[in-house]
Amino acid sequence: MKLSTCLFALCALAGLAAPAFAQPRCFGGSEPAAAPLTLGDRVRLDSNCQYALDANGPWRSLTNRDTVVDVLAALGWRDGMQATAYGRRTDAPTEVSSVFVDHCTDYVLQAGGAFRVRPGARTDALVVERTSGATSCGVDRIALTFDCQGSGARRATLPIGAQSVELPECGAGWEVQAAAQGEPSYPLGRLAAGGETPLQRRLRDGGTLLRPDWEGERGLRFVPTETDADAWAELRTAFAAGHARLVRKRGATAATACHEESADVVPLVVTGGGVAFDEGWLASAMRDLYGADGVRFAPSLSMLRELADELHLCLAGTYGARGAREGTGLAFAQAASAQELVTRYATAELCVTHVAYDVTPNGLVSHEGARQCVAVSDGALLAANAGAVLELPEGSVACNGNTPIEASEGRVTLSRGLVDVRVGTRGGCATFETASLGRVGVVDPGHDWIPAGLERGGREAPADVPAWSGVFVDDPQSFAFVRRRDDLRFRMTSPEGFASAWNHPARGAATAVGQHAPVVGDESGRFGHARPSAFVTRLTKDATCPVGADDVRTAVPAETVVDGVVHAHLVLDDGRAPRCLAHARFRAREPRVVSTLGRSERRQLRIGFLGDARLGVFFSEPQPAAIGALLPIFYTDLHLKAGFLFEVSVPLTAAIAWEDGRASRVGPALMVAMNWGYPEIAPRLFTFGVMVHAPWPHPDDTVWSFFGGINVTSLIDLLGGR
Amino acid sequence: MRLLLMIALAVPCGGTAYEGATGPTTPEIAVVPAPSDPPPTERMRTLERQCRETIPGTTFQEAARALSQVRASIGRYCSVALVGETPLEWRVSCGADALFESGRYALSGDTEGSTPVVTCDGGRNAFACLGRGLRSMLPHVARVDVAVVGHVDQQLPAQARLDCPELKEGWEAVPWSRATNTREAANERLAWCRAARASRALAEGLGSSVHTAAIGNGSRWLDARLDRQGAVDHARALERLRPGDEPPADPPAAANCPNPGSASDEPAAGKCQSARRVDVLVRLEARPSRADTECSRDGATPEDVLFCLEECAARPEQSQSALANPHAFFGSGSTETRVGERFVTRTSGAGAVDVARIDERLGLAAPR
Repeated sequence: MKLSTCLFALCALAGLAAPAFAQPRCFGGSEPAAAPLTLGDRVRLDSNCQYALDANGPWRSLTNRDTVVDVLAALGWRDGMQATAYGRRTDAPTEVSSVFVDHCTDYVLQAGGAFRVRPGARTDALVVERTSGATSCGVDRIALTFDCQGSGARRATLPIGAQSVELPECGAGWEVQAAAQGEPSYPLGRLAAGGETPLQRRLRDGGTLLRPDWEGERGLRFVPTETDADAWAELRTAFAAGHARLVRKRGATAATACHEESADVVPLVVTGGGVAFDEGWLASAMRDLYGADGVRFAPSLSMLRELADELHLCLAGTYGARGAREGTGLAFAQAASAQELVTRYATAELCVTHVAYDVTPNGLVSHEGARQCVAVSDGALLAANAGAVLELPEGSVACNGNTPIEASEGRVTLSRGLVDVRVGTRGGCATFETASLGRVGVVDPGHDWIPAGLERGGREAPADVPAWSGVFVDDPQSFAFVRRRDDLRFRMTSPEGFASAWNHPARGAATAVGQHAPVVGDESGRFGHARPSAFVTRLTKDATCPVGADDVRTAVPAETVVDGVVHAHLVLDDGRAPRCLAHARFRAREPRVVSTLGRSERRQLRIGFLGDARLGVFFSEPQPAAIGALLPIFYTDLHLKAGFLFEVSVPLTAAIAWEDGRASRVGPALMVAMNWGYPEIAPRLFTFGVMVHAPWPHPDDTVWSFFGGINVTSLIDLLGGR
Repeated sequence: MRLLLMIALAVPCGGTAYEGATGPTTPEIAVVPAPSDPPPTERMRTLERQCRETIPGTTFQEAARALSQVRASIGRYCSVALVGETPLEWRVSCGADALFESGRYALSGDTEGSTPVVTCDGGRNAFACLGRGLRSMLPHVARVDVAVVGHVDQQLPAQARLDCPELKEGWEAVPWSRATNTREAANERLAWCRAARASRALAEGLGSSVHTAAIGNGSRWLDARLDRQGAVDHARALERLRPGDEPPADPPAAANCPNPGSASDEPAAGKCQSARRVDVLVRLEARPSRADTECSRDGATPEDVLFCLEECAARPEQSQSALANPHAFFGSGSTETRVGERFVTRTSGAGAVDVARIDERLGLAAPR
């Protein structure tokens, strides 16, 4: 008897068998061939041969391996690779032989195979038993090992000779390995108690179920991630049956949220194309966040993202056919790839080319401002003047509430309102099923910046500055204010919804939008935790926008001398960089000016009653001089350069003659005078004029006199009296 | 004078307070109710019906047995592998140089005096043996579909007017009417003729008519698919590599020869030895068996249909036999005999050929 024959005989006795096919060369035979081997079939390696897992190599020598699985293991075989070992003699490298694990092995657990699987006595238990008399595929020589992965890993075996084994419930399914005696194990796949429906299988495989999509009937929806139409159809049916639901619970895990009675069920619209939030629910969520104004704009990307973090997808563990089973809770943010909501727009920007205005008695005068860009992922909220130009990110639309704003080549010239830049969807501006990429509160200084402390009564302002209508005008560039009557206090209105959006705590804005644009100056110190106003008014001596630290220090109070000019600036502090939105110019003047005439700042004829009193000296020839006072009852004056002011007035005069102390020049007069003073410090301090007056009561009075005097009002100002 | 004084005193009293001006508003977004679609309960019913009509486990056992037998029979010259998990779809790839006469479509053993390379019980070539192996499956399946793809990259045809008139019969349409006298065209004809010869041999071995598609992939098909320049660049980068250098990135996927490749492939030299072969895609369509159980509920509500689907899926035998019939590659696709750079024919009665699916299942789809 040959040695090989002896070996095979010994193997058979030991439970291993000679294969049904002739052994190929290098595996115990002499001819190059290919042969299937069942587990436990013997092979005999040849020291003149090389072996590999691929017919193209790499090749290596191998000894002391006597089953096909053993050889495969030695060659580095892994599950998923073809279970074939190749061999070739070194002296005939083109003649390649191979052995492979018989394909019947892979299906021994299938129905009708060598093992039968049936339900166990307990829920989701399984019994695996050998089919009586089955010997095909070498099953009588193999033992099965079952491993339950996951929490509480367990193992069960069906040894050679044993008839059956009962496997308890294993949620993840049993991984099955087969092995003949003494050889490495060979994977047979997975065995689960009871089959799964398409959705249950999909959930076990993990990954995302849905992803955001903006192409829904109304806009945002969550569509199935892949073409597993059966799983999707099942999910839709499960929603209808109440076996699937979306709940909202902040700060809870999906597992706990799905079991809590107090979790709110989120109403959904489930269509063939995807799942969408119910629009009424979205509107309600917006009202919860922003109050009544919440329904004027769409939810922001970040709000949707945060909302998704509070949502949980709850799926029943069973539809009733598999006994009591724990349901599945999935964090909606993960299950629906909610992160994609923001990643798609991670690099998109919202840009505004600003415009600033001079508010003048003749209307608004615009100046082009800086370009400002912010990333939309930050939940951009900007403020801008009407007339600024907004550049829309690609694929977005601009809306004012539910009304679309027309864009030209992606640009929108802004009008007053709250402009909501939204993801362009089929629902357009009329739906909540979209996302706001950014908002721009557009104010109109002629409408919204209100000089509330000024008395009205002047002429009606042009249509573009209605908030300034009736404010007295000093010259075409300046409004007038009277120190004792007027106060440079300003109010600010803003478009509906803007304050709600700006002041929302989630934004964490450094400033707040209210009804005031308070005058602020160089105050230093701590003023508590209330946020400063986003809109402020700064008063300065010149027209330069006061947004630097030095500008703030030079800001002046409203109390200025007559004829003094105060520049008021509407400054917006949006937490990034303060910016001037508008500027207006005021000139202080006497209280009882009734009219101004003239088209220029310099040649401005002012007409008024009860002007400034003056003390001074009257003199004329041949009469002696007199000391006295005059009070213009009616006057008109014309501003000239270098502090000169020409005046024609009708004053009441009264004087005492220098020589005899008798009254002189008492009564009305007509005076033509030139005033001079240092502008901004003591304007019109000195007066020199000539007048015609009643020659009464001094006998020597004539009808005319010269007058030189000091303006009492300016003198008191100069001395700090007012 | 008195009048003037009264007027003067009255002037400061003439002011009024600001009265707000109305401005444009931001209109509210109105909520438009949107109903859900009816749930797809009918689809759930269909799934349940499919679940109850499963492929018998014995079909898989038989398919596995046939597969092993075929591999034992032709495994020396052909690689035989499953496509996916089911044993009902096979991918067979046979090197042409060993099986065909050089530059011809005749199989070794076809002509008198030549020795067959592969023999089996009732077969004198690898494709006939493949057919013989499949014959055991005929009682278990409703139909057998076969796609045969001949590859003859840069193979010189034996004659410039190479034609195979005897193989052009039996197809829905003949691939060409007159053989043009150019080397390129002859190469393409050779590719198709080899595919046709292989499919005829397979049908003979099977002893039954099957739906067959024959596709010829000549040199031009590979030219369009193979990024030879990318392969050259990669090869040069490897040559310039010095010890300690960072190895170059992997070559682009299109710089590789079509799967399965071989050690003798040199795409950088324009050589894909492995692209001289015949691929066979075999699809077995098993007959589902009718279930003998019905759902224990009668209703048609969403709750009911889900219960019934789960009840069926939860049967242990169902969980183990979830393997399904592979996707068909006849029925939708092209009915032309020329698709891109290749001849595509189908046997009479076969539906349109889904060439893309065949390519995908054989691993021939162009890399992305």
